[in-house]
Amino acid sequence: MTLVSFSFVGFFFIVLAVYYLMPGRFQWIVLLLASLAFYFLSAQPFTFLYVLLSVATVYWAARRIDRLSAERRMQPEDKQLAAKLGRQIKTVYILALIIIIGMLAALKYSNFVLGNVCLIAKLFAPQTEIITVQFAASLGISFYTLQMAGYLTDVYWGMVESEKNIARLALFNLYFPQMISGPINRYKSLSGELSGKHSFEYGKVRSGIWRIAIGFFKKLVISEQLIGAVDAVYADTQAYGGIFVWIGTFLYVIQIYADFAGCMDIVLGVSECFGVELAENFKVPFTSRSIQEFWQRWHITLGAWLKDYIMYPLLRSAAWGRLTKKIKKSLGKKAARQLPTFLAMLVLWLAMGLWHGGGWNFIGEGIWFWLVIVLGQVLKPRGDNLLKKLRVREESRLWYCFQCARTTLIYAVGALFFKAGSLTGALRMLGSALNPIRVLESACRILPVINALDESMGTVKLGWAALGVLFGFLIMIIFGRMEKRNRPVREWLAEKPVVLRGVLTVLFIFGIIIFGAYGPGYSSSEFIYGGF
Amino acid sequence: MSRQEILDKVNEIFQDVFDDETITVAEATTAEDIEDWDSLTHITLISEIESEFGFKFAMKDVLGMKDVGEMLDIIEKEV
Amino acid sequence: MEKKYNRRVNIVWIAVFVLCFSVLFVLLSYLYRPVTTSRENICGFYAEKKNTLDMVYIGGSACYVYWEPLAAYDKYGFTSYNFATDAMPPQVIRYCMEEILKTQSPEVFLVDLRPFQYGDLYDEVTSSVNYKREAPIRNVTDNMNYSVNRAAMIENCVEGETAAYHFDIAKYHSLLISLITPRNWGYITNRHPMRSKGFHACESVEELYMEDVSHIKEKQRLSEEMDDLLTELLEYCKNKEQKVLFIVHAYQISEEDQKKYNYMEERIAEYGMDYLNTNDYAEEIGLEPSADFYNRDHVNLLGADKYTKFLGEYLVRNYTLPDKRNDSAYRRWSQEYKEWNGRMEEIRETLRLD
Repeated sequence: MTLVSFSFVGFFFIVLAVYYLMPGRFQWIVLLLASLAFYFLSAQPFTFLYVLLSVATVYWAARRIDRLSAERRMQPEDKQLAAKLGRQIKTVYILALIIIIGMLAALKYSNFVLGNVCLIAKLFAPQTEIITVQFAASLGISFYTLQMAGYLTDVYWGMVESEKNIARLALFNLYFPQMISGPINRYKSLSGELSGKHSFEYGKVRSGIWRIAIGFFKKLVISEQLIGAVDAVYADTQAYGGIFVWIGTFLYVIQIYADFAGCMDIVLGVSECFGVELAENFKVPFTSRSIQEFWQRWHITLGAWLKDYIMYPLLRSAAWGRLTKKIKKSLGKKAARQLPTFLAMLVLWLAMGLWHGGGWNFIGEGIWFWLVIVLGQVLKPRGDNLLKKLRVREESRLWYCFQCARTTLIYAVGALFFKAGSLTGALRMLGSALNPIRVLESACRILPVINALDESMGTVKLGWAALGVLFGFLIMIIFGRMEKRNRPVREWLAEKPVVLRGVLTVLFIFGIIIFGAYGPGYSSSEFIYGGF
Repeated sequence: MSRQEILDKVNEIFQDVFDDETITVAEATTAEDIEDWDSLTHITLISEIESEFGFKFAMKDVLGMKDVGEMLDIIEKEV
Repeated sequence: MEKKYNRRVNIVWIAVFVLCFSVLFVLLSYLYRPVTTSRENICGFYAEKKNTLDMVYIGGSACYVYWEPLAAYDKYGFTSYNFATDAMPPQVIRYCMEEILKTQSPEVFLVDLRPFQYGDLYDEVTSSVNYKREAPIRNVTDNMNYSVNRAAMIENCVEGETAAYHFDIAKYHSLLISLITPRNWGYITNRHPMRSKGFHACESVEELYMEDVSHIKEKQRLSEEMDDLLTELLEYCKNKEQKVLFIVHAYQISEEDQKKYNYMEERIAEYGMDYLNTNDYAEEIGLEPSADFYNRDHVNLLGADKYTKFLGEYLVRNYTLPDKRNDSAYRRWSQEYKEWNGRMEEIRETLRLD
């Protein structure tokens, strides 16, 4: 069942009705049953084994860690016992991690590993065939594995108490709005929300439904409309090189934002209707002044997760400590502060890249962002000097626009790597885009290409589709500005008189119906992030 | 060590890490109050404080600290 | 106390919103539907005043080029309408009847039997059997008013995903230009008077050589699907206690076609319904293969004139149909006839010259 479908809307309303008819203490059970139903309606049933393994492993490991820690606390003076228990706790923790992350890695990266091993083997024995394995993708495994690993780690660090009720832990894993594409939540906040009693609040449900509508809008009016053009450019770089790479990538950035942020709107809107607040994943990312800020505004929960559970522990590990001391001795205090951080960041960005998929282009994407951030840090003093010399005011509007544009461009390069499908493909496209001759040559072909595209689109004339996208884009910008000024559109609308609210809601939904790309004549596609 | 002494020492570390002699932290200072205090410099601060005072923060404290006052609480307990 | 009041107010406003939204949504759907021959016919039907039609003619493109309701009114005095769409598939006929009976109570229905002949033919272009093809079904379902009957029709007549049929706007919303096309706005309430009461004239001639197969009396069973659909339709007519004349138009039929029609005649008689194969009366109708046909399957205007004259007389003889020519309530029909006939005369002239 995809999120943007009649069946999901029907499913949602049924669950919503049952949810609010139930007494408060059974509401989480309704959500659990609904999540189970959703899972079996959306994925192949046997893949549920992965979920079971994940929940069972983490539940048992967390309970055991808590019990061992309690034992250790009971006899604080016995150092030997403390050490022994400490080792046991660590073993349980690492074992559980290996199981769930191993499961994820086996499912996601087998082909990547095998492919590279075969490539190396080919150097020695040219007849080697490249082996691939076929695994049925498990729905949302990339997301819930991280979420559960986060919970386990929180228990290990003593930040939360382990969940006694395995069914509640299962709900944390399976909660249907966020299971497929995130956001990646922390146990402390989400479990609190899930287990609470929620009484029907008209304003909240209305706000949630508005948010779902906004998500549908972004997904159908913008993302789906652009998919055809973007895919065409990325499928054939011979025909669409040079300036088309620029256009295609620019459209792709808009498309992936509309797709992912729209998905998040639906997810958070659905959850809001249940009274369960999920973490935000997007905060007007294209208003970022730097690429660091960008990643605090784009796919927020993933960045936060990687920072808290990979980078920080790494930076505080003994190995890093030793490294810092060595650098301090040979290269001085300043280097000792920066270099270990850069190294830890490299690990984070490699993880970020790899999380998106097993492919060198994903790794390339990660390295690109790392490089930009590191260079930014290293060149910061020189950059500041240059600004002073040019007498550019940091607070000026012009500088702000420049920064936002620059950030978007940097992100666009990363997006190119993400979409290109292979490292060589990405580099070829990049080369084509930066080759002035190619750019000029392709610029002369823009009109014929547009004509050809128009013909291939059937009843949907290119002009109208473009109008739809433009209209959607403008709406997104207006909403974005309102959000940036801390006056989100839903809050604004809630304060308007009831007739105006109704009229605007009707018009907005009609906007989706009229300009959305759906129905016979369009091909529906899954959310881009849904395959993770 | 008294709380004030700890605060002074912490202030020195802040000035050192942010390369800014004018910084003065108080109990209520949070990450929002100092411009360059982001997740990276946070870790650097933590490390410097740990090596200065000779103890290790628990992971939950590193992530959970809300302001300088909480930081001082933890240091006080350890020292 | 206030909470309860608030909740009641909220419920009222939600109900108002849902109501307004539904109405506007329906209108928007109607606006986007493309205006085709089929749409003109069906929306024209909805525009007819209640309980004014004495006969309704249901079928495919065959009906709407053969039967001239206005000419029949002028000659014989009874009112009729062509509820006909392009390539109407057989399984929708009874739902059309149901729809018609909502606003009209005709003395007799005429049902074209040709859908049962081409229904199970295989169409290479769409790689499917004719009666399952999307376009013919949509010619009917996409033009009917939103109703329970329409929903039942879609569920029972369509194979596969039905959502895009129920909400036909899903198919047509991409034709954004409809929003600003005045013609579409004219059909926004899904009713729009059809001046010629569902008749469309064919304006050219094709010289044919017709073979007379009316002497063949053997019967050949229909395919299972077609037979089942025919039974369903007959059962429905019997339950409704509605007089129905199942009719075969005058066109070039093959021997196999004739055998199947003979079989259908028997089945129809079983249920006490009426059957007429106009090919048996070719001489009486006086159709000339060299002048009266548009193509193998359709007559042109001259042929339609002859056909209407014959069939009109047949109907008056066999059914109790009123003569409304002096009825002041039906003055409009007389006016419409005069205008329509004037336009048709021009076409007849050109046809006679060919």
